[in-house]
Amino acid sequence: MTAADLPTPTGRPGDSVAIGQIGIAQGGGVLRTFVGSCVGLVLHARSQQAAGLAHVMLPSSNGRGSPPGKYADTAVTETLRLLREAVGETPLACTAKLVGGATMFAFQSGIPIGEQNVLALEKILLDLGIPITGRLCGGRHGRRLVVDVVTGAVTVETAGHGTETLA
Amino acid sequence: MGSSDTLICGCAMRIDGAIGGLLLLAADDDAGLSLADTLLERPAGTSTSWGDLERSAVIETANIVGCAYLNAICAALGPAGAAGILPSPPVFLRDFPESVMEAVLMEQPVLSEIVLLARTEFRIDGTPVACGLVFLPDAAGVAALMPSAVDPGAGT
Repeated sequence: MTAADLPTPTGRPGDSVAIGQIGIAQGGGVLRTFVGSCVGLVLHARSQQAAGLAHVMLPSSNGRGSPPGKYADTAVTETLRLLREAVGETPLACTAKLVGGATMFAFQSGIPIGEQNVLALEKILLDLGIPITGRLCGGRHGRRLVVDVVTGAVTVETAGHGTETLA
Repeated sequence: MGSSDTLICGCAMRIDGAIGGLLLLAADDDAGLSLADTLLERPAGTSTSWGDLERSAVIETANIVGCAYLNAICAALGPAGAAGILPSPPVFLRDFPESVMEAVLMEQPVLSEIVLLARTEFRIDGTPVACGLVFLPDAAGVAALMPSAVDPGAGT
């Protein structure tokens, strides 16, 4: 499977966001995805009731950059660009939430890729001045996350460990 | 490999040696518990939750099936497989199918945009077993198994 085989990003409310892709929605509905070692990056613009969800696989594109949602460095800027495109000319003030970055297999050594993804996203968001208002990262289990586009609340179900909401 | 609404169970093994990569034996919950009953020689339906014994049975199954599978690959490689293949001890997991497959795929894209996934299904006396084996070789393994995938000019 190559990057070219992956489905293209969509912007319809309620869409599931596939690995390495970005979903954008405004005015209602939800965005959803599953993550394990990957990180779900949620950017929410409260005043425009718009949200973006990127399914980030790797901390750095190293110049590759396609699909942009796959890498932390390109995912943040591309999600912001798509959000701006969705809301028009109005100023965009975003908050961020991070979910995922688990170490799914106990034999993974070094700094696990999930943790690297979280660290990379935190640094980029800090540099851009985007506050992180919620996070549920690390651990050893996958997570199902659903983003309420209007409120920005993220409901997270961790496999075998219940559900919680990042308001 | 299961639906989004249910968890799957399975065992993952890291592979090193002539071919590197990751091997995953996975089943839906009911099939996994049935597999445990089979190995423990208990009547079907005895196991209803994942205790230490049930987990151990599935880990042992993954060990046996995984090593047999890898030995066959090693033999098929001929001289290239002389270095042998060394699997890690299986790690039990129970998780969302999408999260498991994502984590399996995550083993590769750090180094390569090409992913080769081989899935094997099993039958006992002709009856399908709801259990699959997924093999994800690393970039060197892809090159050894499918030279044309990384070099279109190479033979298959």
